[in-house]
Amino acid sequence: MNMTVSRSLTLFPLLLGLTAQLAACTSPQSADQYSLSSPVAMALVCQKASGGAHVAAPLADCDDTTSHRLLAAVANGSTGDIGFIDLTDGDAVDTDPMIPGFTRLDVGTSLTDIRSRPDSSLLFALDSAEGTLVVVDPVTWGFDTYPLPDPPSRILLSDDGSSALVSFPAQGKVCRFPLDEAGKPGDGDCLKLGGQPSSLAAGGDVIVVGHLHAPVLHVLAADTLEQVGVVGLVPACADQVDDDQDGLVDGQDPDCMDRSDMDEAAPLPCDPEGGEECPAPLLAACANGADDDGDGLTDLLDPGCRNRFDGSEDTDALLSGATDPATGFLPLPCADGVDNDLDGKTDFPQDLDCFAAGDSSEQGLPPPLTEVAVDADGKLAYAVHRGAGAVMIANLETMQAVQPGADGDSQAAALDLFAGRMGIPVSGGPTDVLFSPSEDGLSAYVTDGAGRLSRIVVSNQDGAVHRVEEDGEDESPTSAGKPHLYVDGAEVQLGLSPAVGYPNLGPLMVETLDEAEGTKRYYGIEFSSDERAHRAETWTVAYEGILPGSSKLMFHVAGANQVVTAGGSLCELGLRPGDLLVVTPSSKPECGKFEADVAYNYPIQAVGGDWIELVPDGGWFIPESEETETTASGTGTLPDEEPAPEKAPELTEECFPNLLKLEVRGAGTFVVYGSSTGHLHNVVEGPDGCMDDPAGNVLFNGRALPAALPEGKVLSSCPVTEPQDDLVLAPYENPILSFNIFPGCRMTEEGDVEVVAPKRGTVWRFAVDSGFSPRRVQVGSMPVDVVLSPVKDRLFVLDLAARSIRAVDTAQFVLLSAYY
Amino acid sequence: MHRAIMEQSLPRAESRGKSTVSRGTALLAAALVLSLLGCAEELRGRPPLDDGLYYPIAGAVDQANGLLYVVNSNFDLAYRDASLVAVDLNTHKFVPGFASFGSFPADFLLVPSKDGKKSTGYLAVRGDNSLTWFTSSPEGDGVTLECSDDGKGSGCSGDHVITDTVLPAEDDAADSEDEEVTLGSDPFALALIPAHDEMPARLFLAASKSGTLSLFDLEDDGKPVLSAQSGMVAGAHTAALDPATGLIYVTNRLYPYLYRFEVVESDSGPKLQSLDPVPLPSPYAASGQYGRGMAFSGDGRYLLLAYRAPAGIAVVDALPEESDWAPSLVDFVPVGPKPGQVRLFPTGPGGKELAYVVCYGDDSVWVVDPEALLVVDRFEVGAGPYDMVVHLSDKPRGYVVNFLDNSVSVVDLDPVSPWYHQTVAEIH
Repeated sequence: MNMTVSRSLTLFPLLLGLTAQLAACTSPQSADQYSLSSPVAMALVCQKASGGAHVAAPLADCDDTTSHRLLAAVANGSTGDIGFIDLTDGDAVDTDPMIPGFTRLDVGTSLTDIRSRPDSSLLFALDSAEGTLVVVDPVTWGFDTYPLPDPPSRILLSDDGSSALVSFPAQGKVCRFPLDEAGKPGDGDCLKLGGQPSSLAAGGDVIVVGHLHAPVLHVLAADTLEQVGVVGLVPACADQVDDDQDGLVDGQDPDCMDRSDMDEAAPLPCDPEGGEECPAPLLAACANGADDDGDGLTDLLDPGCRNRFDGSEDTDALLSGATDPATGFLPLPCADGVDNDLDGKTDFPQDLDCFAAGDSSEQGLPPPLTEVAVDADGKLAYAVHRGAGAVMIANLETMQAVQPGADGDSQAAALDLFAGRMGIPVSGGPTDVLFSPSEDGLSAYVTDGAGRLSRIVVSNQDGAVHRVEEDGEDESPTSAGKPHLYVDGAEVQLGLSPAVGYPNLGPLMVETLDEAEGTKRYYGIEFSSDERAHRAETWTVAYEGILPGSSKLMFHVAGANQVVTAGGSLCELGLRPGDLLVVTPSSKPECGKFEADVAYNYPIQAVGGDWIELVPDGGWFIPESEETETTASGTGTLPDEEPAPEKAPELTEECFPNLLKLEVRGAGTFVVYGSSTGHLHNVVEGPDGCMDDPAGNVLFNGRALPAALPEGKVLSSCPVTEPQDDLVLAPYENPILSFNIFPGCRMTEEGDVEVVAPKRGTVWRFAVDSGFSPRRVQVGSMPVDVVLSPVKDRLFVLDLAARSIRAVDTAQFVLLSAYY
Repeated sequence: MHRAIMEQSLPRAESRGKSTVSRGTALLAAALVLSLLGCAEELRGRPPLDDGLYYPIAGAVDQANGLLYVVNSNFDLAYRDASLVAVDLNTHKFVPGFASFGSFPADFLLVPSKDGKKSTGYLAVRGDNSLTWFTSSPEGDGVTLECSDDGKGSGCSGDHVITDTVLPAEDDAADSEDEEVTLGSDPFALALIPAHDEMPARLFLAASKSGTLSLFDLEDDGKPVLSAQSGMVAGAHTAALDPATGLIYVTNRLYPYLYRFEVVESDSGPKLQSLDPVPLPSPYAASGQYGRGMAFSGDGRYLLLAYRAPAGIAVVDALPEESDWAPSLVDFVPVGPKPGQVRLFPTGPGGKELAYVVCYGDDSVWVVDPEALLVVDRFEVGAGPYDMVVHLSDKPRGYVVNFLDNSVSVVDLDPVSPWYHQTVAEIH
């Protein structure tokens, strides 16, 4: 054997081995380690072992009492494939053992949904990019692809698997396709709904369709697919649906008083003296069908009208055109002839996002991008409203939205309503919802954008509840942090006792009120027992503070002792007669009657939705003076007396020809507001202007008074942090907290203790940490689908970002395991 | 060139014994070599590319004149400078006329004049930390690009390359002075604010590394003049103007937030005021995997933001500041890996607006219906696609700039064409 042959023989095995190694390393397609790449939807199938292989079994059989295996079939959106995970042993399933790694079933381009037949025989997936329905045999991995007429979004199988309902949001329609035994779809029967129908859910005899942009649910008869109703997810007078089918929608309908009106068919308010037939209805100028201001425009068509409670059609805002040189007001967005929100519709009444011509924005509510669930009886639907960050409730029997707490028996719900929060707020923003029977009623499971799963008690033996379940193991009560005192914007350093000379909320300590109950008073602040009403927020208690929202509006001096505004409601801000309108010119007006940077105060005589009348000759101001340095450490120098007020010049158009930013302050009172709760009040708009609602919640109170010392009495000690014999307390209470305001004090030369009147610019702020903790479990970071398991007390959550499935024990409400 | 000089100046060792080269001559030659080496830094690389594509990174279409401008990034410094070339969209051939500027350009905006006869281009250039601008007008078979003070030559210089500039004093007080400033490190993102309400057109520039934000007033000739500056965290990637609210949104690749700014007019000029950022998903601890390109839907209601962790389009409901609702993430549409730029064009059936997401990771463009929030198509292009622009006409076409292929893919965007959403040509 020559050297050449010998060398070849030696090299050949080496080359062969190398080639084999290379062949093992390369493959026609990549082998991914994970079964989930961009999971968007999940379906479950059950299989049982038979003759060394697996065959389909009814999903209900995988209830943990058998040795069947439960598989998750996950539609991966952007990779266009289906990944399978054995939820019984946690292993990813390889659909092609010839390829190294776990191979997913490559069926298309961009999958959007997947569902399984109850008998687990077939899976049905939708591909929006290809416009196809993919029918998969989960035993053989074989699949067939069928064209659909348009890009599909969601699929809903009938209970017997004989038909599939598919939504086509771009075309505004849903179509039902009969399916043969092999899953092949026949010709579709389509129903045009308008909007962008997307989510589908069935219960009882109905199918409910949720939309991407319209806050409504279409209710269809399950057997005939006929439309049986439309339910708005927001108040009926804001849902852009003709709920009472009178041809008029929302603000167009004279039966809609304002956007929060829950019924488009409600009768108008009656004059209580009008007799049984109410022949003299109490109608405001914006609801009486008359052109009160003679501008040719009536009621809500008049830009002076924001809603039907508005008592005046007058406005200084222009209908359209350039800025009014007389007032400087710009035309209002709902009456300016401009499609401000670029939705193709201009102004009221064309753009239904405008309730009236005097509305402040053409922008409507955020889009719902609804995910919907229906109870087994088909009587109740829960719909995720992503834009509002809440789960909306729809009664499918009355075809009406249900607002929790509308019956007034829940302070927490009442506070939500006051703040404009609809439905059941879910922090983090809900992403999906699912009903599940509970021991004594019905529960719903909601995922949120922060990756958590919460449970809502829908109903129990006492009836409808509609509340997020509280974490009973979390015993942390609601608490307040140590309050901070600010005087004229600068913080006053406090030690263990409040500063003399300034009002305070009580001793700077946490006191135990009831050892057994564990109730405490935090720095003088006590909390109500309803922890659900408590929120994590900062509270402000400001003497003659600015009413929140008032400084954002622009005002025009319309005449002597009159100012007007446009685009906002002063009643909704809680203004009332007696408050102070404060003008602080930033530069000296040319009329020469006012000085720059001086606060001129004008008591309000009357106030309406968009107008203020001032008390004639009632204005005053404090002239500038030097102030001695003050300390507020508890001893030492006291705040100086302010100079006596002087009469203010009359507020005239001559001095202030342009639009102004003004402040409205509570006169002689502490203004109280929470950063989340807002400034509570019961002010509503009546025919004569802003007034207290006689039927309002008495606890909706945003003003507090300090304790008072009757004339001739003296305080026994200073500082005052607790009740004293002669001190008359004026306790402040709202649905969340309560406190007293103890007066500032000082020693007189005679050695007595006298009260120091509070001074504007005195502000207390404290943080509240809510003791209400929803019962939640962290299931990922971007949950996209939640599915009930056939195993009792178990569900699965699919997470897009974590590329995982999390199993949750719903009895213990704990995370069981994660699958990748 | 260096080698040639050395061979001539320094005789070989074996011939030294026979040469009569003096010491002085050798020293002179050495000095000459050293000085040339010093100049070599400036002459490094080939002259800027004037008729081809090399690591192209951005494009813009001159609709009126049927021209495609492509920015060559000079990513590996093979050339002395980056360059801008022009392509005739009828013939797909490069036309005479180009401009050269600092390497590593990032964002590119082309603003047509009202009469459509010429355009002004603005480039954020990372290589020299500049805002570089030029004017362009068709001339004969080519274009004339003016990018220097005297309008001659192809290299951008002088007032057309803004690096150091002056920020006007805030008020007229005696102790208030104009301030000399730079544009920050790594100018990256540009957004145009059209003229409105007697305010001039403006240009917003975000520097990625330093977070410097600059606002320029645009004069009638297109010249940018700095009017305000502010700052944000590092990592700015793309800036866009919300047409409905006038707010400027900025994506960030390092932090999972969408940043927002408002131009507030004051007596002393405009100010850039920051608003609360919009939180975005942050599933991973590693940064650099967050926001990339973005675009507003035609009605301004949605902002479609290319996101990398996970890969998809984050749909943000962009609401006006005065509403009761804060802008928030409302939906997420998975697309291909490493999505970059997002562009919206009215190229769907019936003129419907579609979002085109350029996915660098799988050499394709994903098409999303922004109303139905669904992926409706996907088409493959060249390697490393980075940007896409469109020429709207009776036969609309898209042009995808392929960074790794040195090419531009030409895509049919005519909904009734049998080659709709397919690459029909390539420009090299």
